[in-house]
Amino acid sequence: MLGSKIKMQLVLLTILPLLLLVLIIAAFSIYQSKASLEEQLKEQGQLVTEQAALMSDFYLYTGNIPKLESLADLMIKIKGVESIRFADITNQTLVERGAIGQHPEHEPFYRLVTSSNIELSDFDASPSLESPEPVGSIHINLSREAITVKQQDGLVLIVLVSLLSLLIGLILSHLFSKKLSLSLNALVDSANQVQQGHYNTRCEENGTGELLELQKTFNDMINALALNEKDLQSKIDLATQSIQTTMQALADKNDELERTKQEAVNLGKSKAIADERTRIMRDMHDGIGGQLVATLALLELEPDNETKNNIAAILKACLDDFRLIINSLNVHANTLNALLADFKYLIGTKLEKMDIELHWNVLTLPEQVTIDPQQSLHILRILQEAFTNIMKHSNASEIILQGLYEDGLVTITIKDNGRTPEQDKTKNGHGLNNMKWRAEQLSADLNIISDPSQGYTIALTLPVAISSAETL
Amino acid sequence: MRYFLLLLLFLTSSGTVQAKTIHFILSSESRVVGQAVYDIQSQLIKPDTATHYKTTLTHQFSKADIASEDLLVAIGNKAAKDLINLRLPNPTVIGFTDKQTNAYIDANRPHDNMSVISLNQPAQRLLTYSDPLAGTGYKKALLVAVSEQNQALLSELESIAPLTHGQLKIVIVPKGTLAAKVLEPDLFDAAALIAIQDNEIWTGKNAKWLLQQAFNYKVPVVGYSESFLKAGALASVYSSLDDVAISTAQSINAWLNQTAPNSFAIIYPDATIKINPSIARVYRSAAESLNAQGKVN
Repeated sequence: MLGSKIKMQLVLLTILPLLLLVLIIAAFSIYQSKASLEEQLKEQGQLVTEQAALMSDFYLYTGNIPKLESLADLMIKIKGVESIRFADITNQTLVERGAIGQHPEHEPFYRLVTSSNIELSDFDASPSLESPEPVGSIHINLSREAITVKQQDGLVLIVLVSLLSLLIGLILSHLFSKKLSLSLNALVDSANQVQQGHYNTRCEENGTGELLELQKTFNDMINALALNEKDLQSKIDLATQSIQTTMQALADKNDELERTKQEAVNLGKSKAIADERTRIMRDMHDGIGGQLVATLALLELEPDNETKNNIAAILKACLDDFRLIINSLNVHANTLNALLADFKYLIGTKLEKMDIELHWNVLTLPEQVTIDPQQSLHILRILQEAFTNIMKHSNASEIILQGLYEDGLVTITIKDNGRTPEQDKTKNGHGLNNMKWRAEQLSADLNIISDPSQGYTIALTLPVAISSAETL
Repeated sequence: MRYFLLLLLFLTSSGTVQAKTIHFILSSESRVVGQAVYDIQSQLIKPDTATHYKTTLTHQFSKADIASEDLLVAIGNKAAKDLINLRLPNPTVIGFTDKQTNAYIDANRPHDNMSVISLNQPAQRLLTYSDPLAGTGYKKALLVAVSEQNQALLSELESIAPLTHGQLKIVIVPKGTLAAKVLEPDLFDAAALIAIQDNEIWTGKNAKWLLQQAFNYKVPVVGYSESFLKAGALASVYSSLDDVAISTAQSINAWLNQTAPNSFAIIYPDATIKINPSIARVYRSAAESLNAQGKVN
């Protein structure tokens, strides 16, 4: 965890070798110190024994015990000397001070005291063949306490110096790593920002030397990356826009295709219905119509009488109604104007016979108001019922039919100037109901206003569609 | 040193033995012997062209190379004894020998045409020089230790004892005893310890203890060699290498000049007197009573 941070890595990188070096130096120093102290102890021991030998050789040679005792008393006062023993050449103790013997805290020293020869001849350069004659020996024990204390002092000093070195090294490495890590962290932060897409981020140029060069290069790299990203984004936007346009065009085409397909289906259906209707209409015209005409022709050959005239009148009424139905099913004349024109032609003859003046006002209606055959039949029935009621019951002399178009609604108003007797109201109840039912089938409003002094006013308001020229 | 001696041998042996040849016979190839030969030859008068030098180590010396008119010069005790043992009739000069060798030469010489230049000074010369040290109080004796077997020295000392006005005290050291211990009682009232060469007393082993014992009793020591000064003596009366070389050269020059006496003689070179200044600071009054440093004849 700690080693994952740059600063800590740098600190570890610098402090670990220093720690190793300090440990090695400390170990070496401790070893050297110990060896040096041991050497000092050895030198001190040799020096003391040498001094003792120089001072005692003559007394050992002459066996002067009092002098040796004085010397031993003097030597035992030397710091560190725990015991001293003078012995003759047979190792017989002559003088002893302190306890000579094995002791873990004592370092023993031994020296054989010899009588060295003096060269008395100025010209005899040949070395003396006489070996030094032993005159006795000295045993000295030195205390190791002093060396132990010195070792401990040295150890404490080495540890203190090591800790101080480590502390200084730690501080220096901290400062050094802080300076480096600032630069590196700036780089890392900038890299993270760039990774998250913040291409406007720039690394703070707070390093020195190669790090500063690296930061500058990194910033240049971000600049290039930002330019590339911008270029790429613009290309992506263009491509996206192009795809969306293409998709929209495809959708439009698809809708158009669907619509065309639906129109084709509708057209096919309409055509099939129209064909069937044409076939039925033709069959009815040729069959029922022909028989009605043939019946009338046969009836004309019969002598006139009331019965014959009544039957002929009924047959002619049937034949007119049949023609009206045939015309309403004529798919080729499917406009409101054509429908109204056919109706005017059929009803005009009757009105002339009854001396009723017809005022036909449909000029304001648009030519392109289309209606299907079912609607045509309902409208014809309503008009037929209205005119029939006027001709039968109102004694009107004048009928006004007016057609108006406004906001997709066509209002056809039929008004007469006749009268409406009270006894006729209940007689004509089924006709009015049929008219209302047909108006509902047309989703139209039917208003019937009966004014005994003014006559009937019937207003039919129905929604219509105005087809384009192409569809016509 | 060996190369120096070989060069010396080469230079001095280049002549032919046709006329007179001086044969230097050396005890050893030591630096002292080489220096002695060099000093002797540098003191010689320029010989005629018929005179040549030849230097030989004693163990290489052969009497076959000797002509009857040649001079033989032995340097050192060993060379002297070897030459005496050859018993050659040639005139002979012997230098750098001690008292014992001188006595041997005197007793075994083949002829009298021989001069011996001694390293050691005569006992009388040391006693005469040391005489001012003899006091008037209780420390007045001039102490001399003699081994009991050195009768020659004992006789010599007894002969010159009257010259010391009764201050000479001769201590006989029995064989097998410690000289320092034997001398200790006499050091108490001694004015000075005079070291006269006795190979049983003044050995390298004993000298240290004798000097130390004398120092313990504040008795100054007068030695017979310069080495005594280094060992702790107050003063020394001795023949230096130059002194002996000059005397030896004089004897050779006398032979070359044909003025040498045709008789055996032991010649004592001039003595050099030297005082150890460090010891003199201890024995201030004694040192002041001695003659200043220099030469004595």
